[in-house]
Amino acid sequence: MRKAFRVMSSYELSCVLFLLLFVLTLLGTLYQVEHGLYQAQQKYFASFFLIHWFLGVLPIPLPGGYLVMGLTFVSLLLGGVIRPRKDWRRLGILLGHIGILMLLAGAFVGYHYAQSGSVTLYEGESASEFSSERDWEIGVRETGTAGPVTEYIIDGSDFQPLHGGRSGTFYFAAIPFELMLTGYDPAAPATQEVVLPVIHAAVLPKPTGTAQEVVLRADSEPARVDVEGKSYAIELRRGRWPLPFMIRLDKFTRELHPGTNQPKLFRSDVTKIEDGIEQPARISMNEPLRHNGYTLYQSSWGPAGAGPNDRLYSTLAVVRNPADKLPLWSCLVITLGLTVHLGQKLLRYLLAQRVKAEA
Amino acid sequence: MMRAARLLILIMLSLSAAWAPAADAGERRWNDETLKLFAALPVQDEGRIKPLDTYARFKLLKLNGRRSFRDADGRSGSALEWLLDCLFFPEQAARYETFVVDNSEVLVALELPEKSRRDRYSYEELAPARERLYELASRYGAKEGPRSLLENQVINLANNVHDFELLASYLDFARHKFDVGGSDIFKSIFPGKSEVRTTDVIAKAPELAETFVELNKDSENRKSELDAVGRIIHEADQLAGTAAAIRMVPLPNPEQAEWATPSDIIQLTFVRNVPMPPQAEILGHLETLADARDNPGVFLEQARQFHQTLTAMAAARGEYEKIPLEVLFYRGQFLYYALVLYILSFLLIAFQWLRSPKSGAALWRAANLALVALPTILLIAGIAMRSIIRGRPPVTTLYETILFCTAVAAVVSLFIEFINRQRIVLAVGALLGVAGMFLANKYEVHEGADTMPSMVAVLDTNFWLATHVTTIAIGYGAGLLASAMAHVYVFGRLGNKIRRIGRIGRIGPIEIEERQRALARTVYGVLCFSLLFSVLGTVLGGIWANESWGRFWGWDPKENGALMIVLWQLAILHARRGGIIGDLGVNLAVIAGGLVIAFSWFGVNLLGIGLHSYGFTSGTFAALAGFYAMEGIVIVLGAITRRQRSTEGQKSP
Repeated sequence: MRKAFRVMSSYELSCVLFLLLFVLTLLGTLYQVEHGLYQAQQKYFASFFLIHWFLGVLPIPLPGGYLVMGLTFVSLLLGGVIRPRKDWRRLGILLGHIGILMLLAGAFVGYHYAQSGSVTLYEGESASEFSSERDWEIGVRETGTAGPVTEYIIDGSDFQPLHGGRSGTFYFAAIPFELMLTGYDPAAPATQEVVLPVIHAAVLPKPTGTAQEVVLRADSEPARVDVEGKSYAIELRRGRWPLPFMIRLDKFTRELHPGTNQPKLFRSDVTKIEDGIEQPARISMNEPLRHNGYTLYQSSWGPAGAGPNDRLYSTLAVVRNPADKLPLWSCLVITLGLTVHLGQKLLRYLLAQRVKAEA
Repeated sequence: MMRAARLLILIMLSLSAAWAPAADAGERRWNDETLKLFAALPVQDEGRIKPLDTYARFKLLKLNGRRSFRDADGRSGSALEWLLDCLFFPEQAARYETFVVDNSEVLVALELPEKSRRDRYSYEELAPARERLYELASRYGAKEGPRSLLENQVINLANNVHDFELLASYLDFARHKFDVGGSDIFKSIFPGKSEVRTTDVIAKAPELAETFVELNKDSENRKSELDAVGRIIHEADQLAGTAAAIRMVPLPNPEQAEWATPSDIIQLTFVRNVPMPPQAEILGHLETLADARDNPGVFLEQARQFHQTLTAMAAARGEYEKIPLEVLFYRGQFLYYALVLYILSFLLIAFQWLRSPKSGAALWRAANLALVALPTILLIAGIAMRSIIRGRPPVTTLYETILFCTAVAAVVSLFIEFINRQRIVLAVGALLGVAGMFLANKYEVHEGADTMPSMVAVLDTNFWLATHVTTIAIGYGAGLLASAMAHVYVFGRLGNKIRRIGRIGRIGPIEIEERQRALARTVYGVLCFSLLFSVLGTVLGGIWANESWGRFWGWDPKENGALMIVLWQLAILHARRGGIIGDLGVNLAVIAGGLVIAFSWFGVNLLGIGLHSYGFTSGTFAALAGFYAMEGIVIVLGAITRRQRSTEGQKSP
């Protein structure tokens, strides 16, 4: 136990972890050139282990970013906070280490518990939910009937494990078929730059009938099937979360630098509606709207190539991160710690110089 | 040793010569007073109001790859003189060899006779292949997928030729005379005149349009009159297309951010039938100037009036106040003089290494400090002026990071010299000053575009620019200073080793040992300083990202570059604390840290991906690769010195 503590809190381990993370960061950056950001994140930074193909021929096993950062947290806690003697000379360094711990903790909380997504509104439209960035769901509904339709939802956590030969069958009492899902791929190339999930579905009429196979692609038109003379739409799409308030886009403004095509400003004038109370707000780059734990950011706009009188839409990124403010606090702690430490060092150095000069 | 010093001086002088202003030779067309007036004329270009002088500088730099030109008789002149020649003497400017062609294959593609591989051509020389040039350029421009170097060069040349044509035709409207003597129909519109100017025509635009409509009703009988009026309208319409190069006409409504070109005014008044606005006065001034081009005295007087009118119009919109400062910034050549002074100071300090002054140490020390302080003050003044002109924090573009990092390195080296009198750090600071100013110049020439561009929307926040970007740049600057100092340490070790082998040298080994140890301590101190700012800058960057995109960290290449610097520096400090590496190890690692900084600073932009790929620079790759190879050699050489000295390489306290 004592030996484990000594190893985990050692300078050697911290150096190894820094260098590993350094290598991962470098490789993950270069990987983006070919494979894009998302894949690089998944492979190098969100992983426990990975195989890096050096120059495309030599497989090198490496610990993933998640594991390295986790170990760094432990090593930092033991070696940087618990192990050192506590005296005022080390105060700055101690604070610096605590700040980095806070930063890593914030990253952990954000990675696991933050909800992030977006809401797209045309001028005049409003919404009280937003669609997820990373979570997916499958919706099944009857089409071609008048009146309200019940939609049946399969949650992402139920079908996302269905890859590599695994399959799962889902059924709903009111729907005359079972849905067998298999071959989930979280990152199938959709366009040159974008990867999106894909899943294969077999529609099996109850109790017997001919199976129909469809491929469900995220962010695409729903698949249509006919069973027992009725039509159904099956859709793989982004999960949706409720907002605790309603948001309406009143006006979207886009300004260019005079005489150029270079954007100067994007701005959404919105109204936040909560308990019947309307409150206007303005969202622009670097000026998000924060309310009730949710933050709404200006993300993009469209349609592309819209003329001066066209109706525009604005896409607002929505994030709910319980650790939203942790980086700021940690930054303050780190600043304080390192400034104290550097100040002490410099002062000691200057005093030593003076003693030397007098001697 | 003296030969080496002489060689060094030669290299340094040629460095400064690359940036030297054009020397006057022979008689000049434009006198100083006229140039001064034109330099400070406000124009709108690339989304901002700038002096005509700045416009001319970057226009010529883009065409010519230089800030000066030679006319057909071989006399050199400034960018502004070139621009005035293009405007007022286009037929002569067409003979100046101002189109740089980097690759003679472009000429082969155009079926033109080529000179040497990289050379300059005049518009007259290129004109025969004009159609082919434009056709090739539009074909390459429409091509999907990546373009070859040659294709890009053809497109560039076509753009430059087009730019020149726009400038050359800019005052066509001012030179043009409308013939109104031939038909009686003009007697009432232009009484007593046989020819009129563009401003006369646009002043009478409504009447001309009305007359045309009237005549058209009886077109059978009044065909010749209809043709005469139609011809005037047609000519005006033609001219409306030619005067679009420079936005020189501020509009009275401050809400309308976009300034007009003379073309716009002609369009507005004549084609769209709006009564002539008061700003058409500008067009009248340009007409009188065009008339007076061969008469310097009259021209000067007209220039004075023109300057007064235009600056008053801009000032009324609140858009003139920063123009004189920008003129001063460029005319004052702060960065050029900083380069020259850094070179001088480095040479003088280096000279003192070779021959230590026997007496007056305090005086020498003060002189050395002043020698490096002076160019640093010039550099900081330059940065401050740019900051005021743009109303922005000091660093907003890749170019400005070069200026700022250089200033940081110089200031830190001055501070170190001030507290520990090693003189060596000061020399390193001066050398980095030379390198930084040289790099800034190279970068500016390479890009050939205004270094104070309009800001993209996401950067429109002074708070984060001031905190995150400035902090990161301080981290870069200090890290590079540490790396440069570590070179001195490693070279010191190498020198020591050679001395030992050859048993030469004046200084005793103990003295050298002490000096090396003090240097290593300083490198360590600067490294800590750099780490402080790198960590803060990186975390601040995350907080900014969280503020504007809702995520703290996204593994974007530039973010990763900053993180790599932090991780590398942290590894060095922990390895030193843990006794894993000694002085030599730290210094070699700090040199390698310089490579990491270079990757984050320029290398990431070469990847051409991510949020920060704003400064994509194609020629950078070779330079960066060369830098990496050179540093690799230094690190290997340094590592060789380890074996024999491992017994002495204790940690410093």
